[in-house]
Order: sequence, then structure tokens, then C-alpha cells
Amino acid sequence: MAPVPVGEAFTVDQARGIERARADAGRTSGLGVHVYVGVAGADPRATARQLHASLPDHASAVLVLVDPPGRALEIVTGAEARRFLDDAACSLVALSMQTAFAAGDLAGGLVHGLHQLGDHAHHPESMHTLNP
Amino acid sequence: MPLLQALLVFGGGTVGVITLITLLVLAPSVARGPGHRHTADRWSEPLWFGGPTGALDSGESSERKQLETSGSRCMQTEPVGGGGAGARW
Repeated sequence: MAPVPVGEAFTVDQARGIERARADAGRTSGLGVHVYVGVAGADPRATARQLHASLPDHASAVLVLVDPPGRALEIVTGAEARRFLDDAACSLVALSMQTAFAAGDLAGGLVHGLHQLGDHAHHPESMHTLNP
Repeated sequence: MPLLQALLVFGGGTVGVITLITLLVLAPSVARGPGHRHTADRWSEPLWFGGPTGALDSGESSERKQLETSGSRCMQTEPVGGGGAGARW
């Protein structure tokens, strides 16, 4: 397997941890979870929406955008994803991540926030509704 | 003990210890060379986890440029009914 190009942003272990948390969140929630870390310009929300719209499964996708230089965090949910991950849950996760980021723990905040996203969006299958 | 000799014995030893500790503290950072680049430079290349290509990638600049140049059109393609939240720190 080729080494993961993480540049100077994260160590290889940190990048693996984030990727694992992202995959876990996607598996738990059944939604497409994507993370973008980079400069988001003057309007991070608009950039996050643009990036979210560029995702192939954007209706059921959740995008977490982190702009470290701009100290901005955005979580964008698609119309389908919002049914399982409402704005209040996103705000809670954002608050948690914000606290970790303010303490300088970017990778840890991302990992913890992604786990929280997965937990909030968890929707167990209702077996009793399968058979009328 | 002459004054000059006393200064050398007591003052020289003290200065020597201070110099040694300073060197021990500074040596690792000097050996590493120039430190991290400026914060903004460190993040000049965006990093995707599970991005549009489905792979962990740090070279999405061309796609990002494409998004930036067609920004208003992309804004209109945002799915209706989407949501989320934001924060600053």
C-alpha cells in the first residue's frame, strides 16, 4: 500500500485516526461522511456548501470543513442526511470540536467530532415495521 | 586569593553552567533546522478524507480552483433542505 500523503498538516498516525473515525461514522450512520481540511476563503460556509454540492452522494452526505488558518468549522448536511442528523445535533458536535480546536487539538477534535456525528445520526433498523 | 582568581573560579563556573544549559536547550531546535512553515502555508494544500475521489488526498487544488471559478453556479446546486452548523474558535 502506498504511503498516505498527509503533508505537514497531520502526522501519519493522526491522518489514519481521522480516516478511521470518518469510516466508522459513515458505517454507524449509514451516511456518506467527508472531511475537508484546508483554507476556505472569506466565506467558509459558502465554500463548504460548494464542496458539499460537488460530492457525488450529496443528498445523503455530511461534509465537515475545517479551516485552521481561518479558525472556521462548518458542518453541511444534505437533505436526506438532515433527516438523521438535524441542525441541533450538528451544533452540539460543532461545539465539541470547537472546544478541542481552541485547545490546539485539531486531530483529536476531528476524531471525537466524527464519532459524535456517527452516534447522533445512528438510526437502527426498525424490525417491527418490516412486516405489516 | 586574589580578586581576579576568585572571579574566575566562582564567576567562570557559573557562566559555564549557564552556557551549557542554554546550549542543551537550543541544540535540538537548531539541529532540526527551520521550524514549521507559517500556519497559512501549512494548509495551502487542502486535505480530503473521503473526498469526491473517495481517497485520502492532499492534491485537490485543481478541483478546488474549478469550484472557486464556478462558485455562483455551484451555490445553486446545493440540495434543497440541507442543513448543518458552524463554529469559530
